[in-house]
Amino acid sequence: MDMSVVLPEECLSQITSLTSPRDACRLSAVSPFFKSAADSDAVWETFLPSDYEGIISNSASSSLLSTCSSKKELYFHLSHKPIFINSGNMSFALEKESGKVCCMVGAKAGISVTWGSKSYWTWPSLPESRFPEVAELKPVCWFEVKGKIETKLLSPETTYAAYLVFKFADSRNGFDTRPVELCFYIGGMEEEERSKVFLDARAGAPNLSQDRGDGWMEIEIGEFFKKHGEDEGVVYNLFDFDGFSSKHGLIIEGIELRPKSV
Amino acid sequence: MSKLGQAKRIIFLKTADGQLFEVDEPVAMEFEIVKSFFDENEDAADDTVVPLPNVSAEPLAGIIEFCKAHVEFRANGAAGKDEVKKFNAEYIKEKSNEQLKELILAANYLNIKEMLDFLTETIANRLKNKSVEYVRAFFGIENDFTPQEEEAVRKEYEWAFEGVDED
Repeated sequence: MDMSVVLPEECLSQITSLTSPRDACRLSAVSPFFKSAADSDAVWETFLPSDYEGIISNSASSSLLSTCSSKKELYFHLSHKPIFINSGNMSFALEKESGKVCCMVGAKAGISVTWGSKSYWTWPSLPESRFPEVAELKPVCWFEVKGKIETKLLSPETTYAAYLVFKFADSRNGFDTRPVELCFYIGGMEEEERSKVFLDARAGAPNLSQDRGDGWMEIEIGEFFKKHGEDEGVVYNLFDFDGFSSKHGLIIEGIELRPKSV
Repeated sequence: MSKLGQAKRIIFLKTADGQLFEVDEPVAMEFEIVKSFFDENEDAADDTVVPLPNVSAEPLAGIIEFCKAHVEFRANGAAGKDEVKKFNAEYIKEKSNEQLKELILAANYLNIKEMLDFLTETIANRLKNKSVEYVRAFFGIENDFTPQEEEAVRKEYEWAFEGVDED
């Protein structure tokens, strides 16, 4: 018995929407009837974040809502190319396989880089950055980067990791001779994850940073579970206070939050 | 419709393969199709037999078992609790893909929302990460794509076809 002739399309769409975007793409190769159900707006609407309309209409790409001819097209648009929200200081995209939200907060919005009134950073524009400005460290003895990142846009019930996205200027110093201290926690919590990492990997030292393939490096600075309805934000802090040697040349693009692959 | 204090009313249902089922009214009223039958025939006699020409005895028995348990859960205020999840898991564990398909077709025809939601989710879980060939066999589908059409879909979403479960 061919079920697909007796089962209504809504039923098939309902089944598909309870799988995943990756499964739905595969199901569309089963038969033309399946394709029509698996490509339907009813299915892809459920794979988009529940507040996608609000997010997109407040972004620099608000026209997407009218130019995309289907929810599936919109989904893939968001998974191929981030859109920019919060006055361009935050990028928003979907993980292609799962539809989970990935965000990157640009240095300008995501890190607090001043001590008192004095800034130890310059703000160059780099062609390889998605943001208009990135933060480059001037020579300092005491190094600190910290910030709090909103998590309310992230997908619920998901384990996320936070990554520092960075690189070094041609002239750099100090990050290979001493590690920086790292601490990370969910806003409102006492517990902290603390560790020490070398941002500039030395020969022989474990290299925890990875080349992203987009001109930047990344290093994981912490992970957290985003619960439903909880958006306390996450707090991070990178510092090295007791160095007598000067540091400079670190360039920070931002902090990325994306689902931790299992 | 029976009123409080009266004897429990029994609804008679007749399947496509000619079997007669006697079902307690609250359970039978879970079936939207039966409910609307009585809504439309208000003066139907108590021993009216409702014909179900699209359902055979085996899936109907399974559906009655499921609805009976869920009517009781609701009456006991247990809806949404762990014992419901436990019952559902036990209920579906022994069901083959073939039985599952018959159940969803019957539940869809009888229009039983709660059961349909549960079966839909169960089938979705059984199709996750499975190959196209597995899904075709599951639903008994003749592939009526042309080779070119199918190739086009596979090519467009190549990444979605990598690493699926063995059939």
